[in-house]
Amino acid sequence: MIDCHYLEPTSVSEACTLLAEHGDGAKVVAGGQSMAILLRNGLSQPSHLISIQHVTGLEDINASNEGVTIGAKVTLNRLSGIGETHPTLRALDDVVSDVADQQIRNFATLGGAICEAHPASDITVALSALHATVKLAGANGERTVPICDFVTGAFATAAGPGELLTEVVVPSFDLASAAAAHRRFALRAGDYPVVGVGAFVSLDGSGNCEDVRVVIGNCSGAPAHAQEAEARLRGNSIVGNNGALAEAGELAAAHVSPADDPMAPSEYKIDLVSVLTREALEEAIARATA
Amino acid sequence: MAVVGTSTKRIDGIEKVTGTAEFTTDIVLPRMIHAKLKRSPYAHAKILGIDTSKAEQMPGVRAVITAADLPDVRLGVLTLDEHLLAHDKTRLVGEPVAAVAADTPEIARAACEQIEVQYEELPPLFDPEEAIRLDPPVVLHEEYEEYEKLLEIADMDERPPNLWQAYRIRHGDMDAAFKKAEDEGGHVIENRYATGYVHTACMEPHGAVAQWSSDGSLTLWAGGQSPYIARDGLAKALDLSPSKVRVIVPFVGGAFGGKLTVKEGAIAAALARKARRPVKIILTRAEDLSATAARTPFIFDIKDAVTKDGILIGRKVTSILWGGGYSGEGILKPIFSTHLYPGSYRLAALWVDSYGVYTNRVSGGALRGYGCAESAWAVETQMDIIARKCDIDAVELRINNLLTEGERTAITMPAHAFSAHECLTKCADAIEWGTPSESLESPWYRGKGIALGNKYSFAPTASSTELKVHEDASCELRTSAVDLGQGAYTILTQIVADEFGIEIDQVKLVTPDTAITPFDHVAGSSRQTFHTGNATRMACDDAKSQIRTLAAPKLEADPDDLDVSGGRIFVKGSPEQSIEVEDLFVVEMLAGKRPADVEVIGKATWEVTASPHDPNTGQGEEPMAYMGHGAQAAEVEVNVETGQVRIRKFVSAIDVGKAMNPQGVEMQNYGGGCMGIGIALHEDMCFDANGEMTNASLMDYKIPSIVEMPLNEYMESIIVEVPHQHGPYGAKGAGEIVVVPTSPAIGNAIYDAIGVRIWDQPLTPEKVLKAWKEKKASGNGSG
Ligand SMILES: Cc1cc2nc3c(=O)[nH]c(=O)nc-3n(C[C@H](O)[C@H](O)[C@H](O)COP(=O)(O)OP(=O)(O)OC[C@H]3O[C@@H](n4cnc5c(N)ncnc54)[C@H](O)[C@@H]3O)c2cc1C
Repeated sequence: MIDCHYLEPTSVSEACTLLAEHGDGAKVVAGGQSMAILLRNGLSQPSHLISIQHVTGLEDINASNEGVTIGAKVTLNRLSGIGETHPTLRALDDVVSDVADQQIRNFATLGGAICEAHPASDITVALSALHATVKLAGANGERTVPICDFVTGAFATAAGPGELLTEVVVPSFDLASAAAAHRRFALRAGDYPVVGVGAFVSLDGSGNCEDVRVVIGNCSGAPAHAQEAEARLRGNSIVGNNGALAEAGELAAAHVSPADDPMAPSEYKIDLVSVLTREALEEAIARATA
Repeated sequence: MAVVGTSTKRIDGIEKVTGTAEFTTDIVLPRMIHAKLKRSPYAHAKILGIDTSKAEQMPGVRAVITAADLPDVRLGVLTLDEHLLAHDKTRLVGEPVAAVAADTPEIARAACEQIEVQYEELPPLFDPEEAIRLDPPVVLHEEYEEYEKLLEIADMDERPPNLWQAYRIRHGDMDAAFKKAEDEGGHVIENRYATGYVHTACMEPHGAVAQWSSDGSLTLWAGGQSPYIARDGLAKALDLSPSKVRVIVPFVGGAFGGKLTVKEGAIAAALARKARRPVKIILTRAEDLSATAARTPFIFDIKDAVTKDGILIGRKVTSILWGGGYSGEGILKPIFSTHLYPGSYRLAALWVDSYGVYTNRVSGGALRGYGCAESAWAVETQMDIIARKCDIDAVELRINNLLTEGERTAITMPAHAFSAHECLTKCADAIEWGTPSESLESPWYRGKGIALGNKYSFAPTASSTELKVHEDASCELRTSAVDLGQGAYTILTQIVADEFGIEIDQVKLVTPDTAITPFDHVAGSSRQTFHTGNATRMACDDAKSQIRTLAAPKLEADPDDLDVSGGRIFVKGSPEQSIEVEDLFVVEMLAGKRPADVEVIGKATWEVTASPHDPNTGQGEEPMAYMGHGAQAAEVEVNVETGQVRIRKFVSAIDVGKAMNPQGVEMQNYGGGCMGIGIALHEDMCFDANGEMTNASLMDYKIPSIVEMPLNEYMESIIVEVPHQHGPYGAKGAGEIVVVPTSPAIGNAIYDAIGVRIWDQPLTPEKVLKAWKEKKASGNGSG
């Protein structure tokens, strides 16, 4: 049994006030899927749990010219199939149905998935490849942070004391010449991946790579850009150029130094980075040229 | 209508599905408190002192115990080497050193943290090959020679100080076999195999509830595999007469060999005695996975002599069981694992040296297959290698080497109900053996593999049952056989219904309670259908004979001319001359009905006495109760970029003598297949350099999910029925054989797909990929 206060604010501002009031001892709980594990293992010992279950206004998905805005409380199951209604979110759609299982996804929220900051998080990797930003609300107002800067390390975020993640914005891009994809490898269905890779590509008029992002999960504390792989591709011909994609994969692998997991030694993760980088790029290019 | 042989509904099904079935954790007693254990953080350490004063002063704490509060007795299955709570030394991470009972589990846990134990760390020993040296770097049990031992081990010039088991098979002229193979153009094939650390990881963790009565007797509720083993263990640990101990077994959420003894139950009982309150203990998942007995690894060195035509003429095996801090329930494994070698194939020479050693890791226990699933990994991979070397089809090679019915095996005992041929060929047909797998698009490759297996059921052993007949002709079976989920209660109910010609709803089971139900050895070694089944039939016979005697005067017939069926007693051949069972009962003033004569309670004991094992030769006329056979085949898909292995198709063909409940057998085939697939590909307990398990959660200990299993239509169960002369209705057990051939079938399929061998389980993607890369680098295969 966990001995702490359980508070249930009904608005973002009330939640922020409570967070500020109770300082370091206060922790947000959304769907509770990661929080319950942290509490059980004693890794989080809050004095106050601030449940955002009854906070309104965090459950919408809206599209505008700038992009798609997703409320922090949108559950992963609601995001399953999201690529069909909002094609710029296909890379996110690639991962949501692989997270845990149906029961967990019924409760797990997008905000929770990001704020957990698990080094193997697929969600963060996919959103990083999509250049998403997160909006934080606090006692002193709102601020917007790129997701790459928000997740700062294993189980660590840039959220300040009293700040609540309220929404995620995935910027628009031209679907006729750009796309993203995510590929992962897990030992078992429902497991966090051994490695996950998100890729975004945009092509210029002649099919060369205009922009590219390759983001690697579970090889460092926070998802990391494979800069050498990106540099190998940027400005070069990549459509149908399997050699270049394989090279990018090898470059990405050459520049990670993951820690050993009990069931997946570092060496194995490095092998997977190479394969998954190539596969994610292949898929992104296939989508951009479809 | 015959009930045995039909797929009747499971009698525990509705209770389990609706959640009304009561498990140990559901038991709540008045004034009950909760126990937690203080465990050693060190793999090997001297205990210099334990200070429990802070814990004792905490509000809500009712009792704290250490070894000093317990009788100074060593416990064990056959080598008594373990104290209930660590005495002067701890020999594995997680060994209990103290225990607390408190008003809530949280208080008990907090109090455990307040117990101060002073340790002097000793160097740990983890490597079994170092452990077995005559001059090992570390000795775990300095006082081994003084321990009480109930079993003789093989003679040795000098016992390595960490060795607790040695067993040999000596049959035929081994040197001559190797010489013949070399001289006559045959092959000598030598390889090393290893198995991994596997846990039973039952849905229900270990637990117990203990309560003392004012007369100094103890009642313990615990979901174990044997109430009588538990009773005797508790009596010994707490220095009580066994008659003072009552063990009740509620529903059990899986056991698979992991719940043979009730160590935590005995600790709860000691706490309950001190606190004068009932005590419940339920292990956490992490404790269950890291600190209860596991299937610890084996190392096998196998050297085979084979003629150029693929006939095995000699097999030499040396194996070491990587035991833990205590010999525990693993004590017989180095012996029983050797039963596999002579069980299937004709071997002119068979020499086996099998050992068990102490190391500072989790103690070795039982897990479905008890040693044979491990030795099959080595043997059946070896058979595949031999087939390829001799360029003979792997099924044909096996068939050419099979024993025949009645033939003496390499350990003397003759082969009986020898169904290996039928299992193998049916399995081969189902996987379309001989038709190569389809080629897939890169990076995927497909391949097929097959393996044979056998599983002994141990002896000596016995089962007793009682069968009471009520005035409404319903029958009540009293048994200490345990339903662990395998369906024992259903099978026994079917037997009674069948013997009395009544519906299964008219059979009631009185489940294990040592105050009421008679002795049954254990729900283990695939023995309950066979032994308890026989005892149940005999008890039915006894009750029916009592009924015939009671009915004879009423029917004016000789008892031998009477038959009992469907609640009636009738004269054989003229069923119209009959009375109801009810007619045997008389109305008693104020007391309902009683039998006219005495109670009708049938009683029987079924016993199998074995010839003793000779630990120096392994020879014996009948060293086991029976031997079961089975074969499995897999078609796998291997990704050579990630090393991932998918089971596309899986076939399990097992011989059960007589399928008492065909659907039950099918479930064993599927469930066992799934477990075997998990052991082959996924499950692995990992340890850090200090000997602590690093993946003690179900998130990190990889039991496969349904997604990792083949699709329904690609999972095939085949039931073979070759009756055993002593089996009830000819039946043999099904519970263990279903995991024996699984790993080698899959390993052989991986070789067929991509030409690499992985020698040590589990066959993880990482190992597959590594082997593939090595093969590519060296430009050839490695098998
Ligand atoms: C068995 C299992 C397998 C999983 N596998 C994967 C996987 O393969 N890939 C993957 O990407 N993820 C995986 N996950 C993680 C899953 O995505 C998260 O558990 C889930 O999304 C968390 O959401 P939640 O709403 O339950 O968050 P909670 O558990 O409630 O909270 C998680 C953390 O985020 C904080 N938090 C939550 N919401 C906010 C907010 N709005 N503002 C600020 N802080 C907040 C909490 O304080 C807490 O620290 C897995 C989880 C489980 C349990």
